[in-house]
Amino acid sequence: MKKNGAANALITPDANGWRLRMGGEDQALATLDEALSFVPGGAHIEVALPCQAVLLERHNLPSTDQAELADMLQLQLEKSLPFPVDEVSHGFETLGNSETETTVLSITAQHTQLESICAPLRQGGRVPERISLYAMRIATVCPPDETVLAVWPEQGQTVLAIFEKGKLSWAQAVPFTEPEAVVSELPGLLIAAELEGVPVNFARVLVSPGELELVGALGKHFGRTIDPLELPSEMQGNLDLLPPSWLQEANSRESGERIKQRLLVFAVFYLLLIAGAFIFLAMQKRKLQKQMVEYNEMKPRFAEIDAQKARWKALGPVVEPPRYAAEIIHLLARNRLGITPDVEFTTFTFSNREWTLKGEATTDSHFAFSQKLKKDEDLTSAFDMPPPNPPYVPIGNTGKVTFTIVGKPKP
Amino acid sequence: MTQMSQREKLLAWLVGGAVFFVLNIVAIKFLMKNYQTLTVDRETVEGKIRGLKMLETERALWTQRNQYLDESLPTMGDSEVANRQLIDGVKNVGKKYTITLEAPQPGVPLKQPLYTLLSTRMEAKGSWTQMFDFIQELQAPGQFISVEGDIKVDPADKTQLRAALNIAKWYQPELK
Repeated sequence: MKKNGAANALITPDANGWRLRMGGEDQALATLDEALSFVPGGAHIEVALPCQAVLLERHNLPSTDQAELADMLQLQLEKSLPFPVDEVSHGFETLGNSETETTVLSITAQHTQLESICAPLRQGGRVPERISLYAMRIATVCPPDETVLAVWPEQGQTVLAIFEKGKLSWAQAVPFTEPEAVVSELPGLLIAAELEGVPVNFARVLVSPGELELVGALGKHFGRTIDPLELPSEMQGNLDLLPPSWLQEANSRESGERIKQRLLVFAVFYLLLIAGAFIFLAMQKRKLQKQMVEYNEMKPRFAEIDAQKARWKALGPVVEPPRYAAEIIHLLARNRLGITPDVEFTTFTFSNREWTLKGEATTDSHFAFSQKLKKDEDLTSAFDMPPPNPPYVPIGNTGKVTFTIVGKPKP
Repeated sequence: MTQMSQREKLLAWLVGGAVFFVLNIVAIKFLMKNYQTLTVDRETVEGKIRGLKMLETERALWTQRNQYLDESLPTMGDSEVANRQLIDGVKNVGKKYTITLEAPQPGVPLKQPLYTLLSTRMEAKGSWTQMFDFIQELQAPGQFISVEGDIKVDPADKTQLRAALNIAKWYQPELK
């Protein structure tokens, strides 16, 4: 699902809202809506959940095999969760193992809770590509060989988390931020953690920078120096709480986007084609206009020849020998020579505009005569002779036909 | 603005598609029609230009022909005299080829911008050969005579022809 070249946007919980980290910039924003307005379209979005949005549980499972652990955890969650396991997204972190047993921390988020948190993203048509836990990011800044207590504010609450060998081992959000209240809750929470098997002998206590009062109160409680908690940049493990249906939704949206983009490319190409056709048409029109101008400029120079030509054409019947009646009779008569039985001419009507020959012949003679006429270039070059319809009319049962041939001078 | 439901989206796509399709048909029809018209117009103009260019090569021929007409086409003058000369001329040729001519009728001059025509109607009778020779001599080059008419084989004697002829002499135009 990753798209190359797009920006990566990480949205994490902040003391009072959310924090957007993108392209080396880091800004605090009150709501996810607001954060989304700064994320460019196509960016890869990862949402790191606050602790209060997930359920963390430690389990000791009788296996060391990762695949088996996943199945065992699934069974364990089915027993322990107050809602169906297919309505949650979950993952786990292996904290340690002996020869026969493995200690894991399960992280569970209810889908309704995820839908509620990510509603602004999804309404804006954006589906995060990954949903993780912010506390697991904090693990990356904890020393890998020590047990550490880290305290930081998250959306109006305070998170107390224990990291064991650089891994999140236990975490609890308390619904207040006042240092005294946090400190007063601390002993009880640590006893509960210890009862779960979490080590509580901390090599360090880390508090997020800027929480000076909390630093003072915790320093006094533990009687030691409190170290600052660096802001994490990397993610530990491969936890992804993204519900599978969201993934399908994202894939479907991506496929829809791809289709839209292809349609857009097609539309642009098509519009260019249409525009090209219009431009071609305009060019053709311009060419025609140029030719008209050229013709209109040329025409007066030929007016005299035109007039001379028109005069000759008008006098055609007396100056063009092929149009003389005698010439036509001669041409018609020469074509019947050699045809037996004879082709007889019965009527010849002629004017300056057309001539009509009527005659009698046998079918074969008529056919031969017609073929010869068609091949006579002297006749066909001077006259149009449309094929008669019908070509001939039989004379009773005599075996003879009458025919009519019409010729019109060519323009 | 509220998001459209799937059904509304489908409807919007259908309407949009239909509008796009109709617009396409209109645009393509417009383009095709105009292209065809332009092609025909261009071919016509190109043909005319080609015709003019060809005329240029024939300038000498047409000038020569025009000069020939100026010099050779006779002037009619008095129409009665011209009528008499025409009928006499035809009769003489008919006599030469033993063509029987009947009922020659003098004609009225027909004045056209490019020529004046004086015609005479008559009946003629003779064989195919005589008739052919008669018409051929009438229409000999330089005579400026046209012959129109109707030649039929005589039913009583198939070696003979009967013709109703309209013989016209062409003159210089009197209308200028």
